[in-house]
Amino acid sequence: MKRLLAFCMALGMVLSAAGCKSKTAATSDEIPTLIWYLNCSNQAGADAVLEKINERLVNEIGAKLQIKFIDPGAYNEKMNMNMASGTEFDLCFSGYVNNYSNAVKQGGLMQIKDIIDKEAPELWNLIPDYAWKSITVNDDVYAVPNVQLYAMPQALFIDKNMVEKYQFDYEAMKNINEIEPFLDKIKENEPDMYAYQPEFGVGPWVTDYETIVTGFNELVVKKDDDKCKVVKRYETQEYIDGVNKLRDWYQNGYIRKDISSADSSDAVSLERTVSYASSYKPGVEADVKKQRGKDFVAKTLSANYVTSDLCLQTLTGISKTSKHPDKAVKLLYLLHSDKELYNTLCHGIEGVHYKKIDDTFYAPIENSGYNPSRDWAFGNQFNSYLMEGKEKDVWEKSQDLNDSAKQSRLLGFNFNTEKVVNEISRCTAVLGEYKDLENGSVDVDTTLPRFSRKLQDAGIDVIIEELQKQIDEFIK
Amino acid sequence: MLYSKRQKLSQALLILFFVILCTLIIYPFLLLVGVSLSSEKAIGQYGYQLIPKEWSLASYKYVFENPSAILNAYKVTAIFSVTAMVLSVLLMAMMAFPLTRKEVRARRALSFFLYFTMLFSGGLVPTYILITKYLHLNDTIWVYILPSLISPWYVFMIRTFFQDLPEEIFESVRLDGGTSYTIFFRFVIPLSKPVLATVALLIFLGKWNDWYTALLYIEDESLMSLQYLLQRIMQNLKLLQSLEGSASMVSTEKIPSETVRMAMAVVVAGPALVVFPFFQKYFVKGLTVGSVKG
Repeated sequence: MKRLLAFCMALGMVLSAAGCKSKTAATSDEIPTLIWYLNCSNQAGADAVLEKINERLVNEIGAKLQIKFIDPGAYNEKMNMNMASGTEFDLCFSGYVNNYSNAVKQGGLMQIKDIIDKEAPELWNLIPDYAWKSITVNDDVYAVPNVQLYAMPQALFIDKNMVEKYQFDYEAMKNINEIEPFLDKIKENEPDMYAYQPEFGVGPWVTDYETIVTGFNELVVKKDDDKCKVVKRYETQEYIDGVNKLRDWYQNGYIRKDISSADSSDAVSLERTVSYASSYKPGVEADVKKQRGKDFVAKTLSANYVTSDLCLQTLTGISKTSKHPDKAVKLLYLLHSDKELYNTLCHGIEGVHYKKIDDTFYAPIENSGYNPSRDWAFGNQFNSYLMEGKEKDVWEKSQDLNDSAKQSRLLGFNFNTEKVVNEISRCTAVLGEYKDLENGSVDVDTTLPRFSRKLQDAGIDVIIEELQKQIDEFIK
Repeated sequence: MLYSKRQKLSQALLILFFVILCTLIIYPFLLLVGVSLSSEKAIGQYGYQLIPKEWSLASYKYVFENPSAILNAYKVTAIFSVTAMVLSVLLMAMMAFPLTRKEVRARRALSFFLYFTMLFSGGLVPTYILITKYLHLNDTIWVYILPSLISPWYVFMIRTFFQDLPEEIFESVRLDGGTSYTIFFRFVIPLSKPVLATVALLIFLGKWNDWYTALLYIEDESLMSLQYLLQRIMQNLKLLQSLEGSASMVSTEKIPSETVRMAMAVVVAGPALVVFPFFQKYFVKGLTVGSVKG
């Protein structure tokens, strides 16, 4: 018994010792280190790459860079904690994870308009105006957008072998419904295949309307409506036709029977899917081939169009807790303007992490320890070397899509949800219950009215009213 | 033993019921093992099968591609699970015992103090700030062990069990000159094995399956818990399988993703399966323990 007591006491001492052990403060270098949180799995070779980059950064901006790699799945949580607890860091990825509007509202990001004006005014020109406009909140910006393809049209992807086997003239398609005869043939002759696969997050075909509130698809504005009248997506003819079409396809056997419980990205689905809808970007066919192990052809079926939402996917925010926001902004400017530095960060050290083939192409070296594939998080993606095997003009084509895109009237509109928080969370809960409406597995005629009524009860009209008010204010 | 006809029938029905129940529990597990040993291609072609059409160890190769990381995670997880289990049970028993003693006047106040924490907690962000900024437990193994060392729920469970221990034993120990420590360590603890074993097992399993702590507080690779590491492997796989991931991949060879998922479940479930029988005897005993004769 005494021994036990002694053990407990010893343990207590160890514990308190562990508690007291504070982290040794960073040695007070004259050269500060910028900490950048990135949603990327740990890269074993990162130290070598950063060392090389820091050789230049020390001279050019007077700071070193350290990247904290956070697993993509943990990133949201981690950044929430970092911002809420006031942890000190300088830069962080914000966008489709670590949502920009939330981060701004939460007070985690710093206003940097003046800093950009002072330290790197060139940045305003290196990034398209509409991207800047999209991220403007309260007449200021809290992040620097990464340049990439924003205006992605919607497309239909079809298994190339099947297209050839059944001689389907996909190029002639004007709208998605013209694929029906082809789906029918697949169903008749290829019983093991899934003729059409509604991918996760891709519902019925709605292209005439744009969503306004990120993550809340039910309220939309018609793309060519200058008045920007908010309508319910599920009451538009296009949506109703879309879900009815999916229902038809489900009943005809074009869509697998277990779709409501199936994971469209598992091995079986990837193997058996013949056609699916997704957004299109130039050169994507090569990626699809790698992902699915077979060739797909793509047919774009909607116009390229830029909305705020698309521009808000990949940004780099400057933390409110940063001690050196000026240096952080300078770093971002360098990454946007200096192709060599940018590519080192994207692909590593030449000869160690990648092989340079010519000025355009590179080939990554397998298991080299550095392949973060985050060219869309480090600056201007169009400056990146292209992976071997891609078409040479991928970036030019992407640039063209961006430049020729029609721009939403609501670019930069940011819905202030303060007054309708409760209604939104109630509606979101309803949406969760009715996911199956959009994959064809439930009867539309009975489900859609019920869905509509539930949203009505949850207060969707209150949201519309508030949203319309703010939009009218915005476009005035 | 001889059974009457009626007893035989009910016995048969009981056996049938448990056979069905066991099958329902064991079949998915065997399926899991079967799929983990199958080749990815066979799954794509024939679906999930108990006995794989094509055998393959590719999934286990993938999971153990970096064996030192997995072994290290095993080690870390085992250390903190066992430490937390032992400490936690000891401390909670020590806390529960006074709550059952009439001579402790503050026991109601103490009970309420415990109960209060069940109703109200500091919330995630304040907890995070406390642990990282004041206790500096992040990136140490103690973060797995110290927070949540005492769970009021279990304390009450243990207390309820203690309350049923016969007072007569304690009186006779007192008469023989035993102190409170004698009572606690020599009588209460041995007599309460069933409840302590139950709580210990639950804590062990809870810690063994803990990934959220690592997600929030651990950045040091060498302190990752097993569940978090496996979850990470899975996520990386998912990523590689996605369009974005495959775009950055070097080879076009397909990665075994479905089978890896199953293999990982086997890897992580294994030790828990081994541990369970050790506790099981206490569960059975728990029903038969009696102490005061007559």
